[in-house]
Amino acid sequence: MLPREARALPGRTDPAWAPVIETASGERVGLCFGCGICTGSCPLAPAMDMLPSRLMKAVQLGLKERVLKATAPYLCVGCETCAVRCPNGIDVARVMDAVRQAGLARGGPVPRVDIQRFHQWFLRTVRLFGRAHEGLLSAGFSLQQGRLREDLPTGWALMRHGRLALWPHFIRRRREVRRLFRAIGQRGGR
Amino acid sequence: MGGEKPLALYPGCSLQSTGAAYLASVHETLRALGLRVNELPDWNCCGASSAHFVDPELAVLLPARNLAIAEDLGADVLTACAACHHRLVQAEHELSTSEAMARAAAKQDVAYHGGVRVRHLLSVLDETDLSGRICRPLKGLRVACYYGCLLVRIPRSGGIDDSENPDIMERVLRACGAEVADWQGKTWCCGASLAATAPELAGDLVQRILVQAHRAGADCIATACPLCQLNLDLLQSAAAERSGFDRLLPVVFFTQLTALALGASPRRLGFGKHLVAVRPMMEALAV
Ligand code: SF4
Ligand code: SF4
Repeated sequence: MLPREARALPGRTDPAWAPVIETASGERVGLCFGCGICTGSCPLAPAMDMLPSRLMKAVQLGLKERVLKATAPYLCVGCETCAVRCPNGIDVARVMDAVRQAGLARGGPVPRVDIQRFHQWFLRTVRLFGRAHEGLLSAGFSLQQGRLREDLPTGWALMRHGRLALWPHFIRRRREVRRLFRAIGQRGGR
Repeated sequence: MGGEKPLALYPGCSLQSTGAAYLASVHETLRALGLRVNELPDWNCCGASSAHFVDPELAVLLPARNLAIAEDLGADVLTACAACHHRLVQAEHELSTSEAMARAAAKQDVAYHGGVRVRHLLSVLDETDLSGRICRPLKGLRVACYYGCLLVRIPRSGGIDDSENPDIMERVLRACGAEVADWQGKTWCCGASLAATAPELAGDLVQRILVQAHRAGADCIATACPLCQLNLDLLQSAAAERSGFDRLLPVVFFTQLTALALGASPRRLGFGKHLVAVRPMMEALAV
């Protein structure tokens, strides 16, 4: 019997997609035999809408649209527990990366836009200063999400304990860092 | 100190703000050991979890610029932050094994040709003979050594120790006279990168770790990651309330403990920056 993902979307497979993800991730997705060790090891599995081992199967089958809609690659924190345990030596985290990056590169709705925004704010500070600035990142993200009021107590607690540097650290040759961002174009966000 | 090349310290962005106590205690530890290490000049952010979130090339090129600076200096890189260590090791591996990636770096004038070693401070301390240098043994302090993910799980290149049951922090802290707890959870993920976007998930992961540390009778949790430290520190009181713990566990940087044992003044170690008060731990140590 076909896995649930396949049954839910009959005929919507793109067999040419698996090799695309294999090349992008550098991982041999075809080696996965569905043992489920990655899923059993994944700390975020309980919150995922497509378990890591199922996502691997879905990529093998070329269930592109279904996979690109999954929030799992956004919840994946890259902890690599799956990767060090996979009996076939597949770095599942890199497959998660490749799937997410493919979705972001294609444009259109993002399954967890809040998580995307968080990372974009982080990168924005790096592009500006050459180093990340946690203050601007938190304030910017919080404002954009309209949660300044909820997040203020945390910010205040950190400030009180002297843990938020207000002034950013600029590096001298910021131009070199900006150039790296330019090289990847819109993929880095603005 | 292993290897002939000098080491250049890569502190990373967190150590300049939320993890300032880590940087202070790294310096105090190095100083107490008489190790002179300069900061890598003009270093940039390694990209952390965010660069590989959006792009595989950015994830390598940001750390690569730092490797190129170290190569130019003829130095190896010394790391403290677990996340930076992970990204730098990973980038070094990709640049030396993937021609496409090496070309991408060259195209952006990032001149890295290989040969720079990325070493974590724990490995350096593990190779240093600490006996005879401990002037304030951490007697009676029961530490839960917490590694989290990034330090021990770097597929392909390998983490600083075994990925399932690492022991390197235990060895270092035992040499400082501390007692180490045998506990589950030392390599469990704390979910720090989701703390802002899915706090309920991060809260669950933190709680899971704390439950194990309490079960093992730990007096404190020691970490080598500024993100883990912040996450466990910040989310602890809520987790404790849910679990009904009768006390909170201070979450310290392992370098705060090594610096203390090596005789550094506690006033220079940033203990005032902790959200969970470290005073009970210090009183037990009679510092
Ligand atoms: S652990 Fe490896 S082989 Fe097993 S299901 Fe996951 S990816 Fe497939
Ligand atoms: S790297 Fe991602 S998929 Fe793998 S165990 Fe961690 S959170 Fe789960």
